[in-house]
Amino acid sequence: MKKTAIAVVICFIAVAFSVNAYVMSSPSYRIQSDSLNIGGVRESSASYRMEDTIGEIATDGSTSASYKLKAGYQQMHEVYIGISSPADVTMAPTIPGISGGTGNGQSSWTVMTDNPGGYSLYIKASTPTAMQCASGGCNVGVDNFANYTPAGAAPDYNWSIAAANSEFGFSPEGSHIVQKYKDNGADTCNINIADTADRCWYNLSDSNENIASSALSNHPTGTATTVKFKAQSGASHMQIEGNYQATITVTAVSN
Amino acid sequence: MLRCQKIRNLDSRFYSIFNFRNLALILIIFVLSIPNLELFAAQAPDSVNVEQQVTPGCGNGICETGENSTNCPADCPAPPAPPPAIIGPSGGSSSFIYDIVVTKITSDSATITWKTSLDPALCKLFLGETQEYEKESISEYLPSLNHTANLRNLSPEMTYHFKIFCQSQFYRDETKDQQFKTLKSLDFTPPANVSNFEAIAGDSQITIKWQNPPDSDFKAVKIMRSEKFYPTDPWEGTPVYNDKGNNFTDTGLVNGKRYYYTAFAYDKAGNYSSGAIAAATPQKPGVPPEIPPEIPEIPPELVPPDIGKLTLKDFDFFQDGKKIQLVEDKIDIKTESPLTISINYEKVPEVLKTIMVTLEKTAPPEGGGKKFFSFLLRINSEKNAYQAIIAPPEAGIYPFIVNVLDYKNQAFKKISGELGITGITKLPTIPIIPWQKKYRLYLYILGGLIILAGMVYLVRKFKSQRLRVKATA
Repeated sequence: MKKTAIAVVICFIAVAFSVNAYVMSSPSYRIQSDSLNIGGVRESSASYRMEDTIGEIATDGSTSASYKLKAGYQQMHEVYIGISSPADVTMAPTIPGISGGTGNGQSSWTVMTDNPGGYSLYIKASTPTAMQCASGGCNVGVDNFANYTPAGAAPDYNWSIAAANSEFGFSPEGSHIVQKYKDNGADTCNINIADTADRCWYNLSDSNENIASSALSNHPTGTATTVKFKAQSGASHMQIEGNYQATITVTAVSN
Repeated sequence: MLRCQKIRNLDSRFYSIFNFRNLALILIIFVLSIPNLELFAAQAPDSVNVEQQVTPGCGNGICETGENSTNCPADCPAPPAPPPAIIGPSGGSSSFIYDIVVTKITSDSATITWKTSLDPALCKLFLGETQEYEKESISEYLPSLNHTANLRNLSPEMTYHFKIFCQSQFYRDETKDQQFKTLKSLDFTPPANVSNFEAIAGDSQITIKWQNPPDSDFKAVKIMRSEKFYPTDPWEGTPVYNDKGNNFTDTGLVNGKRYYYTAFAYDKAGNYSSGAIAAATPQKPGVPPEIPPEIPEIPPELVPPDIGKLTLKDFDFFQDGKKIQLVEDKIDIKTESPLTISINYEKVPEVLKTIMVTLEKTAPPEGGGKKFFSFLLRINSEKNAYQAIIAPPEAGIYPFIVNVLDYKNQAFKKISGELGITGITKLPTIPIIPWQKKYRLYLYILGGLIILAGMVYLVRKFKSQRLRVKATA
């Protein structure tokens, strides 16, 4: 029984603390680094989490004029991912509520990671209907711009809404955007040919939508993904005056 | 496994502990540890607020309802101060007419109000699509300080020019050119249903075919699927197709299970057709196709009297805005325009759920048996009738059945009729003439031979001339 327990503990440690490395891979996973040691455990409290490893040989940090060495499993276990934090977006121009109009805005996020597996970038709104009345005359919780309704499963190549509606949508642009938002440069999206400006419009929701992805590290330059937003009130739609707001969250996740 | 072997090589003490039972436990632990991998994915989130301001409409050049010279001076200029002194009848003043407001703008109407200062005046409004004000002039017959002109029969989305002339006992004034634009025409008319909508069963799949309606503002077709009965609106059931093609294969289905499909054509304004319906049961290859189940009929004594007395005369048929008269349960229509089938909402009781029209088409010459194409009647936008719009098939006589179903999809009533469709007769096909019987071919050959003979003659003549010249030399 004791031997069994020892075997379980050893293998659990060996497996659990080596799966995030890239010393071996399958079509679905990459193992970034592994370690041969005799012990270690993950501990956590309400505020902190700690992992330790014991039994490795020659672990320490050392430096020279040109190099910096971090030896040891825990020291290897670092993946950096960062995302820029752009300012809030004010759409322009203001939309006349009676006669209708279109407001445009954009924001750009730069993601940088040294993760050899790259990253994925997701976007979502804080509410199911993204653009909601916030203040200024319209009814909070009632008035909104509906989420954009593309004609099919793929994004619309051209932005188009009915005259009787008001809608809010987005279109991502950048060198890492996923195929869904690429186009053929003529009339169709979800084709991995081009990234034509101001094309391929889709709706936001409160679920994460993958807009960009890369399978490689882009450290130290990073890669920018621009998200263009558009709100339109149709000519025969009456949009109550006020300030409308969508809270958009963009999350970069290491692959 | 690899890790365990490495450990064994390093320390033989550990070798003995890796028997089959322990390896099995290790495998279980490995599998259980897989979900924890997500804990290692690093994340970097960021949030921004996207803000859009909507104004009441100020800045569009039109002084609309709710706007005035205080909250929107750009569209509603402040009224000029009253004239400082009385101006003679022949004089002019730019301050006499003020507060010109265009309100209640629709696609075909608008109301213009204005005021005159100091004393009641009679005014005349000139209107047109240009500054010639050629459309009409509206005159007042009672002097007043407050004036109104109701404009009717305007064209949608048209910019109109107008000016106002007013005259009182002491004042006379005329405004500069003013403009307003009527709204776009609101479209509440759904497109016609798709035609020839049919579902063809395959192995674990159903192929659906149809023809799109001819409406100019047609946008796409949304097909909904249900395993219970035909979806009756574009939001009922599971969406399986939303595009403007004319066929689709629904895969991953269960053989032996019946699937019901409704196709809703919709236009750019978001109006949906009433729905064309079809059903099929996928089967394994070799299994005979399932005979479609008959709609169960309710015993006559259980049929509500309102429905029991329904006849074809209770239905209305419209084409090109004109009502088509029913003659002995037969209607005659043209093939060029959509046909609207309608029944007044009040003629059927609340227990009603579905009204279905099935058109019977004769088999094509290549066989295939009779074909049936069905459509739903759905409540219209005014909520006063159940309606379906269909694109008539080619000219011919088509028997049809109207099924009135209850909420359990049992037939209350079946009403039969006949649709006679006339249209442009197709020209007879020009018979194909075999190539050897085409006289033009022989003419071309003859022409070619003549040209060849001419060339031979000229070459010979040229040669003989040269020989003659040589002999002379």
